[in-house]
Amino acid sequence: MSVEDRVTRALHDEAGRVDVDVPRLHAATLARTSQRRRRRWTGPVVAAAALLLVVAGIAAGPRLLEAALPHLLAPVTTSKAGGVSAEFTCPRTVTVDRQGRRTDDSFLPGLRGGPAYAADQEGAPRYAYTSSGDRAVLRLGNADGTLASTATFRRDGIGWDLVSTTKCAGEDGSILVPEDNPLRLGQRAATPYPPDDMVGSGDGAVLVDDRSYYDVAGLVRHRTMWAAPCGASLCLASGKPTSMVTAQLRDGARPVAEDLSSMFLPPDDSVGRKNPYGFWVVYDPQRTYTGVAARNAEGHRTVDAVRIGGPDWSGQAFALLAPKRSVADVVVDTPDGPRVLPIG
Amino acid sequence: MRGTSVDQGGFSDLFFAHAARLVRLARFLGDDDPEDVVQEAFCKLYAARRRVRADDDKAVAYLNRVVVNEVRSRHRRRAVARRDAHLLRTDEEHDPMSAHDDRSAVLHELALLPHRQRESIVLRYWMDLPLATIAEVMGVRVGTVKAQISRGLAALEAALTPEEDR
Repeated sequence: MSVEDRVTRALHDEAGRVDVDVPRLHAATLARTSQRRRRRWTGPVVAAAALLLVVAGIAAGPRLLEAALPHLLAPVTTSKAGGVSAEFTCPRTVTVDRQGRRTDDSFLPGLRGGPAYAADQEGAPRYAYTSSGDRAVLRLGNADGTLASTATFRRDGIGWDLVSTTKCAGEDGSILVPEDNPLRLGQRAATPYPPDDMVGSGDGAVLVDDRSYYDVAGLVRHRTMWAAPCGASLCLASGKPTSMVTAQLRDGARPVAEDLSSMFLPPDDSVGRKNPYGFWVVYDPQRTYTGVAARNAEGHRTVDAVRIGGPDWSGQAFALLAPKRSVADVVVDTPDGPRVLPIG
Repeated sequence: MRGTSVDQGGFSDLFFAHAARLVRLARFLGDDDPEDVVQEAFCKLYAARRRVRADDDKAVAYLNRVVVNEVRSRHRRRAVARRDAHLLRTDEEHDPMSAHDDRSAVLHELALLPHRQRESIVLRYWMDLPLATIAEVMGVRVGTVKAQISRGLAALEAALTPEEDR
C-alpha cells in the first residue's frame, strides 16, 4: 500500500474515532459570541459597574453580591422565535422519569441533533434551551409562548442523557385542553381544517367537531372531524389533511352504534395517555330514526346525540359524545319504538 | 452568487453541518484544544457575518482558513512560551506498542512533520481539497503546496518503511 493510501486511511479511521458533541459546542459558541457582543457595547459600563459592585459589596455585605451573582454566572441559552415561558400555565402536568413515576413514554426527546432539531421533531413553534455544567433543559412552547413541556438532560460522557420530561395535561391528566363545555360538538376558536383533502371534494361535508388537545409533547393542537356521504355509506375523517384517521359506515340492515372514540381524539391510550370520552355514531341511511341517546347502567337516558346531515344528504347520522364510564348502552328511537344497542 | 447572509439560523445550520469536521481538522493539525479553535473560528465568522453568505462555499472556505490560521498561531504562541520559559522541547510521547498499529504509526509520524507539511497533507488526504483550494486556505502558492506535500510524503515514507525494506 502506498504511503498516500496509508495516510488517507489513517486519517479517515481516526476521524471516525473522534466524537464531537456538536449541540454543546454550538451552545458554548453562541454564549461566546453574545459575551463578545456585550463586551463590545458595554465593556466600559460593565467595568465601572463591577468597580461599583465591589465598593457597594464591601458596604452592603454579601446580600448584594448574591443578587448579582446569577447574572455573572448566566448559563448557556438558545431559543427560537420569541422565547418560552418558564412556568406551566396548563391545569396539570405529567412527569416521566427513570424512577417510573409514569408510564407515558410518548415523549422522549434527544439532543443528538441539537435543540433546534429536537424542537422541530416535535413540531414545536418555539423552544428554549439552557445548559449549565452537566445539566441541560429543553423547553418547548406553543406559538403564544406558553410552556408545553420541559425535558431535562444530564451529561453522559460526550452526549446527553434524558433524565425526565414534564408536559402539559388536562385537569384529570387527560389529553383534552380544558373548556367550559367539553361535551358540546362543533366548532371552537380554531379555524377547522378544510374538508377537501379529508372527505373528498367537500360537497355535502358537515363539520362534526373541532377541538384542542395536548399532543405527546404537551403542545396544544386541534383536530377537525368531517362527515360526508360517500355512495350509500357515510365517510368520516378526523385529524388534519396531512394526518388523519378515516372511517366508513355502511348501510346495514340493523342500526349499529359505531365506537369511533379512537378517531375522535388521537388514539394514544397505548402509551398511557387518557381520553376520558367515548364517541359513537349511528348511521341512518333511510332517515327514519327520530333520536339517539346514551343510557347509564340504571337505564336512564343521560346524553342526547347530535343529528348530523346536510341538504344534499339522503340519510342522516347521530353523533354521541359522553364520558366513557357513564355509558352502558345506546338507545335509538325508531318508528317501531326504542331499540337498545350495545356499545361493545 | 447571492444568498442569505449568515444570520442566526444560517449560522446554526453552518455550525451543525461543519463543526464536527472542523474539530477533527484542528485535531489533525495538532492543536491541544480543537473545540476551542472551532469556537473561535465560528466567532470570527459571526463577526464577519455581513460579509459572508451562509449558502456560499466561501463561508466554508473561510472557516477552513480560520481554523488553519488559528492552529498555526497557537503553535507559534506555545513555541514562544516554551522558549521564554527555557523549557527543553522533547519529542512527543509515542507508545511503542501502538507502533504496531498502522494508523497510530502514521498519525504519530504525521505529528512529527513540520507544520506546513502536516497542514498540506491533512487538507489533501483527509479533506480531499484540490491543490488550488489548499493554497488558498494556507495562504501560499500552489507550487508551494505541491512541494510541501511531496516533502511530507517523502518524510512519512522514510519514517514508516522498515530499514530493511528501504
